[in-house]
Amino acid sequence: MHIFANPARFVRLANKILPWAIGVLALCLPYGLYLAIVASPPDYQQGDSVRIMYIHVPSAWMAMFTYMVMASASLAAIVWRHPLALIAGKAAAPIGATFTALALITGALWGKPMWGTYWVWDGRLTSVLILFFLYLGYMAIWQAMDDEETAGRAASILALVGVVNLPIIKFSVDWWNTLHQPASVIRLDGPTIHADLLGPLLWMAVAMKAYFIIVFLWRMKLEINKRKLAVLQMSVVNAHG
Amino acid sequence: MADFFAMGGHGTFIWLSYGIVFLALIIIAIMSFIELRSLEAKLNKLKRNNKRSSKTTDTPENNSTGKV
Repeated sequence: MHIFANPARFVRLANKILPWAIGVLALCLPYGLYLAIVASPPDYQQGDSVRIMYIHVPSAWMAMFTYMVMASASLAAIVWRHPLALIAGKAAAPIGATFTALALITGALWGKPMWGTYWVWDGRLTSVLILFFLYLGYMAIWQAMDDEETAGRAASILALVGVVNLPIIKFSVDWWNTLHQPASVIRLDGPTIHADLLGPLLWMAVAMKAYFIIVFLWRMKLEINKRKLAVLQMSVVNAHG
Repeated sequence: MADFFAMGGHGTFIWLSYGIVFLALIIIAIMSFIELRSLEAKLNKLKRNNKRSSKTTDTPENNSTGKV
C-alpha cells in the first residue's frame, strides 16, 4: 500500500514544482539567449564563435549532472529498493543522452572553426563519448529485458559502474594533452573566465537546469502512469475474465 | 543585420549549434509531454470504465498486493 502512496505524494509535489520550473525557464531562457547572441562581446581571440560556448558548456554540465541524478537514483534503487528511484533513473536517461549528444555536436561545430577539426581522440572528447554510450547502454538494458525489476537492477548496476567516468571527464583536460581548454568556471581558485562571458553562460545554465527539471518530472509522471495503467488493465482483465 | 547573421564569418557554425540544441530539446520535451497526456487520458478512461462495469473491490486504489 505504501508503495502506491509514495508515487501519489510525489506526483502532488511534482505538480507544485512544475509551474515554478516553467516560470524560471520562461524568464532565464530569453534573457540568457539575448546575452549569449546579442549583448555579450565577441571573444578577443575566438571572435563570435565563443557564442557556441553558451550552449556547449551548459549542455556538457547537464550531461554530467543528469548522470549524477541517474547514478544516485540507481544507488537508491539497489540499496533501498525505493520504487520511485528506478523510475527516476529511467526518466533521466534519455534527457542525459540528449544533453551529451548536444555537448558533442556543439563541441564539434565549435572545434571546426577554432581547432580546424570536428573531432580529436583526446581524453575529454573520448570520455564524453563514453558517457554517451553509458546512457545508451542503460536505456538498451531497460529495453532488452521484459521484467521491469530485473531490467531496472541491471541498468542501475551499469549506471553505478559508469560513475568512474565522471572524474575522468572532469580532470581529463588536466591529465592529458588536449586541444580542449581547461576548466575556467568550476575551479578551486574561482572562475578565470571574464565576467562578460560568465553572465550569459550562467543564465543559460540555469535555463537548461529548469528545462531538465520540467522534462524530468514529466517523464517520471509518465513512467508512474505507465505502471498505474498496467495495474488497472490487469484488474480489468481479472474483473471480466 | 547581415553582419549580425554572419557572426564574423562563423555564422554557419553558430546558428547550426543553436538550431540543433533547440530542436533536440524541444523534440524531447514535446514527445515526453504528449506521451504523458495520452497516458493520462487512457488512465482516466479505464478508471471510468472500471467504476461503471466492475463490482470487484480489488481496484488499484485498494489492491491487496500493493504492487505498482
